[in-house]
Amino acid sequence: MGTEEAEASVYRVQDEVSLLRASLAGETAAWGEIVTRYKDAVFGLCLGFLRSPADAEDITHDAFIRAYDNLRRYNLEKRFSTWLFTIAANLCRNRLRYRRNHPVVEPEFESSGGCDPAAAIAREERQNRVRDGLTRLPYGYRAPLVLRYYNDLSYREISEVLAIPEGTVKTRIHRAKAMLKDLIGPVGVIDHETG
Amino acid sequence: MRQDELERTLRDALCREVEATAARLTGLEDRVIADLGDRAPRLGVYGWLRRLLAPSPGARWAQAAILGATAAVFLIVGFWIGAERAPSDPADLRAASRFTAASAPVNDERVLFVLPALNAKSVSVVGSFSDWEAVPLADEDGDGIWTARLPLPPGRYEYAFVIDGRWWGQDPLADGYVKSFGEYSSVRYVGGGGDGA
Amino acid sequence: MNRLRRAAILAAAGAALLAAAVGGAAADASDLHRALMAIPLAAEDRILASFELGLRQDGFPADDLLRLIERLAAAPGAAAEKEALLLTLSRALEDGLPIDALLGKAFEGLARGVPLTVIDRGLSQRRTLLVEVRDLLYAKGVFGAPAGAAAVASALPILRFHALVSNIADALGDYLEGGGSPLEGHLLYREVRDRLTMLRGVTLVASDVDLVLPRIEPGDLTRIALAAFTG
Repeated sequence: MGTEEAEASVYRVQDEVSLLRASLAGETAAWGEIVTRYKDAVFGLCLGFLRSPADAEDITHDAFIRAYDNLRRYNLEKRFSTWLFTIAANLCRNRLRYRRNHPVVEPEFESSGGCDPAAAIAREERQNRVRDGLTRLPYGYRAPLVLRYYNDLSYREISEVLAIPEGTVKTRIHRAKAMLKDLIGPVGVIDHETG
Repeated sequence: MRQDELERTLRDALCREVEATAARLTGLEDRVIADLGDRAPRLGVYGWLRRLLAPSPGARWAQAAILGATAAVFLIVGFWIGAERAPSDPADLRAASRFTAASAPVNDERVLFVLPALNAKSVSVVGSFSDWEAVPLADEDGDGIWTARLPLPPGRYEYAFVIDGRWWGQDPLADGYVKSFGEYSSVRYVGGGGDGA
Repeated sequence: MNRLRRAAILAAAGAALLAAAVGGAAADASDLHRALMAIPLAAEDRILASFELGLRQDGFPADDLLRLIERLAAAPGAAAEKEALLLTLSRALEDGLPIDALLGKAFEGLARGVPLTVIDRGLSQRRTLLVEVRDLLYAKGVFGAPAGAAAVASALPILRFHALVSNIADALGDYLEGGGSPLEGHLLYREVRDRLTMLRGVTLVASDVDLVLPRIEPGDLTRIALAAFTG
């Protein structure tokens, strides 16, 4: 194994605080491990917010660069993920502002099969409608929903990431779900799913 | 759709979206590291000083001494230059009216502020040109007409007079008026002609 | 760290000390930080981070901001209310907006003895106007480009772009604060047109005004004014 790979494998088993300290000391390979651990979560957040895989990829990359540059401002006693998500959320918001009048082409999502074709289709249909509904939600309602149902953040954490009061978070999520239901409309008669 | 079903579908939909497009994330670590190069996270002043003072074991005191001596030399030279150039009291820099004739830049207009205020004990003008700090008007001959000429660069200014502590925002000589925090302010436009700024 | 880098750092540190000793340098992050310490803040990190972001803006009014913080610290009022005001400025800076007009309003409010919550309400409304006006200009194909960026048609130097945004938003803010109706698009347009025309060739470059005015419509301004009312 080459030295780079050896380094990388060392970082793979380190705890987060050690990785962050190493990153602060300038060891970019340690930061690489942080990226590996968090990239899906950050990408999912960005994709949920921005509804464009290309933009989500850009912002994910930028978020990790910015986080690294500002690492000295991160308080090691607080939750790293919240801090990182806040950076990503802010970058997403800026990108949306800039992009507001330059609509993106809706991405094509792959569909997967399933054991039971009929159930799979119904499930597919529901998910497509939910995704479509999500895209049509205003950003202020979409963002807390993504953080709750993709990133699994608590209301308190969401309020930190988006810098809005916790009460507002709850209200928005409640309303967002109601709006989604309206947007989705009736999803067909047959509902095989029981659980 | 039931509430819990919506939530489940939402979770699934979001997860599948990410799965479907996550190929983009392959190699992200390498791209980020490559873009960072060999730069360290931006350090504050203390971070730089720590770095400066701790390059190798055993050499810290020598480094500190060199740093201290260099600093002293620069500080002495700096203070000498500063004393030659700067006003003696930093407070003077700000309180010293920006409106002395000697310091007026060439393209500033000397704008007349005039207010008849018989029996007033003090009149000043406050405005966007002074961060709303009072600039006193004078009534040298005691005829109740208070004036000041202020050199102002071209632009738009909002202002009001303060007469014995009371604000008065409707200067008859103003170019216009605005209402600000429920009270009137006057507006003047200064300068004109040619491509500005 | 090799010897050359160390030497370079020492030289740079020396130069910085020299500059600091000579004095008269514009307010910097440490000045702002020191001034902020006079106000008990819960979100000090965020506020300071936003100021440091602002310091990187072309033409950032650092000295005015420093004076405002000092004046705010000395003004009567609860620390939480002072913080709210600073956070409004922070949000504007995080969005990359020019804060000159916001600072002016804050100075005026403090000088008039207006309650801090009222000042903050006004600043928030004006911040919304700045956001919406900037978005409008983007939508109309007018952008600001930082110094050194590749020239794009309709990309103005950032200072000039900010001057347009600031003045348009300020004109709308004055009109609304004076009791004007947000639904009277033609009146909104007249305010903006008059302001830009008066400053055309004075503090706004004539061609910039000529670029922007024909692209704005009364309906755009009504939309913006309503957003500020409800936002």
